[in-house]
Amino acid sequence: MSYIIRFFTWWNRATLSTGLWTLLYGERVGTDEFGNVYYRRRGGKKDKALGFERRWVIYKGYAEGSATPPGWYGWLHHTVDTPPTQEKYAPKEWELPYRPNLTGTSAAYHPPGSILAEGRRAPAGGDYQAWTPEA
Amino acid sequence: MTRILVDGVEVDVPAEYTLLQACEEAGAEVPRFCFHERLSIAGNCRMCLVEVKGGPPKPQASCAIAVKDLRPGPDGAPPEVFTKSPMVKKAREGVMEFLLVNHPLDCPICDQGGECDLQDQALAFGGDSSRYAENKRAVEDKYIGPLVKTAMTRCIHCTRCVRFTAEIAGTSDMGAIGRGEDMEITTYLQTAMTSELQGNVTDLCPVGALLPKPQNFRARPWEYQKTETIDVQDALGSAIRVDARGREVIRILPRLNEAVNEEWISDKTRQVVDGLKAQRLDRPYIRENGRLRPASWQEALGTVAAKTKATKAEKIGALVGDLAALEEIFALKLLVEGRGSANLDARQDGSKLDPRFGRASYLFNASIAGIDEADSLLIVGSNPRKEAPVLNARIRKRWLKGDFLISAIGEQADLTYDYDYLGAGPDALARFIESAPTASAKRIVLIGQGALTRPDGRAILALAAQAARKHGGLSEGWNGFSVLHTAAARVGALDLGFTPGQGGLDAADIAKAGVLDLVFNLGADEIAIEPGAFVVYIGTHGDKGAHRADVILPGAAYTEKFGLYVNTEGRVQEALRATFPPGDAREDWAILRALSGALGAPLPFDSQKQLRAKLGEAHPHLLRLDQIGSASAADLEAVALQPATAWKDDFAPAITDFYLTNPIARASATMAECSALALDRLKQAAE
Amino acid sequence: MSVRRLAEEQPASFEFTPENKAWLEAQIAKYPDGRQASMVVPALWQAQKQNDYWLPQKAIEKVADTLGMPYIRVLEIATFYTMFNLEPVGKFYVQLCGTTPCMLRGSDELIAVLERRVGPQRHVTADGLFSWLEVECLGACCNAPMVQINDDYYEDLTAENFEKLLDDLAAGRPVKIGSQTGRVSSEPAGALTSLTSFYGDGAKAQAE
Repeated sequence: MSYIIRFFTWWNRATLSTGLWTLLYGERVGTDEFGNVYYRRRGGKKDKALGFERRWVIYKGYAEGSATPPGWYGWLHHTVDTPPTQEKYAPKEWELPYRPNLTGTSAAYHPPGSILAEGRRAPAGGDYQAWTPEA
Repeated sequence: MTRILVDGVEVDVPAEYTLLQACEEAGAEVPRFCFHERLSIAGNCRMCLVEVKGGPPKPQASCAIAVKDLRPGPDGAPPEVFTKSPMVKKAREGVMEFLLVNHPLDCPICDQGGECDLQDQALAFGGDSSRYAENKRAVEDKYIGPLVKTAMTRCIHCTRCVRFTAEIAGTSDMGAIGRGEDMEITTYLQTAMTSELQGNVTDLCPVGALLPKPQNFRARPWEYQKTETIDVQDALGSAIRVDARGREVIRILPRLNEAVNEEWISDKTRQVVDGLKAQRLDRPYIRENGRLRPASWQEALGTVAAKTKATKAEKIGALVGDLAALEEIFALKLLVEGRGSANLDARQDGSKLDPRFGRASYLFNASIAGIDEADSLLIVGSNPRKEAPVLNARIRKRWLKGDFLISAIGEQADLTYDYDYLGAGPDALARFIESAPTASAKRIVLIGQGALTRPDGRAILALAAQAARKHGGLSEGWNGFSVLHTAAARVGALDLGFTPGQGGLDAADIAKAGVLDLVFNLGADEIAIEPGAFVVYIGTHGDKGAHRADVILPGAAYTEKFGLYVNTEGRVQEALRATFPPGDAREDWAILRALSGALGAPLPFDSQKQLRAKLGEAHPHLLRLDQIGSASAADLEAVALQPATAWKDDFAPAITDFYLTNPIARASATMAECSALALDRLKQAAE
Repeated sequence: MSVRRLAEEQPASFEFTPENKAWLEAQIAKYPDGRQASMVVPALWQAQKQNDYWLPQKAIEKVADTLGMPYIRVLEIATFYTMFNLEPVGKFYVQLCGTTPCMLRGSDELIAVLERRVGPQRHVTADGLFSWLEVECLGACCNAPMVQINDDYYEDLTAENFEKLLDDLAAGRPVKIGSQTGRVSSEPAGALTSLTSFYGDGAKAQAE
């Protein structure tokens, strides 16, 4: 089954050609907490088309751009050259764990009062205050 | 008329025109901040600089130099004005740069953004970038009342607000203290402004220094759905624009109507908006075992229909309140008269005006614009400042022009202009008829509701007509007999004849205990209906009427329906729908139509169009929008001949609290705040 | 110049003295009916003189009531002119001219004297005797530098004679008004530099 998915879909893990290319030229740099694997051109060789080293990620499962946490995102986009695995960054206590964009999934945000969520809608501008006969 | 060349275009304008007016006549746009058509000329913003040939060889402030100040050329060539020359462009850029030196760059957090004169003109006439790197001046914000928020750092010292309060409002609330860079606009020691027209300074302010406080950070000007309609807070029917966002009315602005409100509106008209959202009746209610419970429309209408069928015609009565439109008054009249009852009354305050005396006997015959032509004014039992602040500003405008003697009988109040006080009661009116203080050819006799709501109101009306007839109020081409109403619905109801028919009871009798069994109350909240009768209340707000009601049918407020209103001078105007009525509320005429269906005797219309057609058949003048239907001055002769034995009592004011005159205003928190403030001032003045 | 506000501590009331009241009424009578507001500057000045050279809030309101003006109009005038003091001043209120001619002739030294003896501007000394303010040109440039103390000009000042002047004032000794170097009004400080000889008809007459 996973083979068929891998063969026919491009939005799960890597396509065959990417996988092959990774196998041939890729150098594994590290994995993040979600299991996505990060590669670069073996030995940091300059890419002819880019003029600098090529870096890429092979997602674990569904290919979703926001699934790369900030540290790896920075490395992937050449903001930094040190991959997070080689850094000694300790998250601050107020930092929440990174979450990919959940839009379109069942865990997406729905405001209170929405038909997909619990709770009551907070009063908004267009509301009026109805009169009620007291007592 | 003087010929003058503006950018090569020759125009012929009166010599006393300012260059700015001449330029506008020629179609040339001249930017300005301090200049305003209805205020005196200050000439202090310098934005309207133009180049002239035939005058001083430097940029001239076109608002402050008249056409006659320019000399013609040696061979009689007309003087020239240039508004697009390099000198003008440079001058404007220079002025704009100076204006912006101390103006903060806070457009993104400024409520004026998007409708800001400075923003627009900086874009059109300013330089492309700033050369100013120094610190900007900061100014403390001032408290100047509950309706106007200040951000004084933004002020560019055009002094429009100062001139407005001094000239139009007549209260001299605001001023400019200090000098030079330290000049600050404020009220005296940051007290609240006292004028009923103070909200207009927010419209006048060309920048975001004075902003409407209740609309603070609520919406951007381009988000509004703008509806051009009319106001019903007083009987003038001022032209307003209702700005709504989504289903919420956020603000009300004045619209230009030279015949009625020029470009001012009162604070009640402007800031009653939050009343439209509070205390709303949004579903029908039925009283069961002494308590009101929510009900469905079918149930409520069924209850009313059953009660109506079970009641004898002469035991049915109907009252109309102050905010009802012609449509529902007409529908209610047809409905009640269809049951065979003559107990109709729209005069809940007990006014003795009656359509049987002719239309002229209850109109402001001089017309509001006619105040400008009059040469003297007698105020009888009225405080126009409270009853119609915009009209009062018009009287003040005429008074400022000079040769306008104002006399007053009744309450001795601060009307913002000087007047001869003749006395407090009908005696003074009788003395006036004996010998008027001055001769006059075009006198206005302004009769307020304070004089007409007394039991002897009819005699006062006769006395007033006599005064008008004898002392220059009635002549060929001039009818100065003017009744100032306080209720927007009143003239319309009188035009429709919503008054007791043959043998019918009037409002006071309808409200009496044990007289009637069933009373239809169309938004009459200023009258206490005594226990006994079964009351059907059709209205918008949970006010006095709703508390007394046995069945409540929720209606639409004036911004929520298409409705015709007739103002105090008899001008028919249409109010348009800006938003929809809340919840299950319906347009009032439709409620009455549905009720007639439940009664098995449907009214002869199924749509508002058909209703208006029927209305037009019965009263053709009520469909002529923005026109004053005819009123015969001869009727007043008959009124003057009525027996006129008045009581000795002093005239009582018709309005005790300007800010709380109707259910919408009473539901408004802003109006309550203003009212409390006014009460405080009154107490302080009494000490 | 800076933002001017009414003083924080205000007297509870203000009433014109009978003489000032009579003076005011006599002055007001000079103005045509309905134009009494033109009296506002003299009236405020009189009120300020009566009240130790400063204007309390009640005085502003009193003047407004007397002339039938809105309070804000009178407040505008009182805050516009720096000659109206809105806060208490010393018994000897020194207005020091710091404009160009006086500055060139050494007004900075006088400022140093005042800052040392009195303190910063608008500050009243503990004994209530002195306060000072730097003002714009007082029009006595010939005799620069100069100061105005209460109603009088003191001219041709140096740090020394200014110091002595202040000492004398503080001690209540009589002082000389006008030039402190003994020259008469604004005649040349040294010898004549112009009009030293006759010319024209005068020269002829002299020759004869």
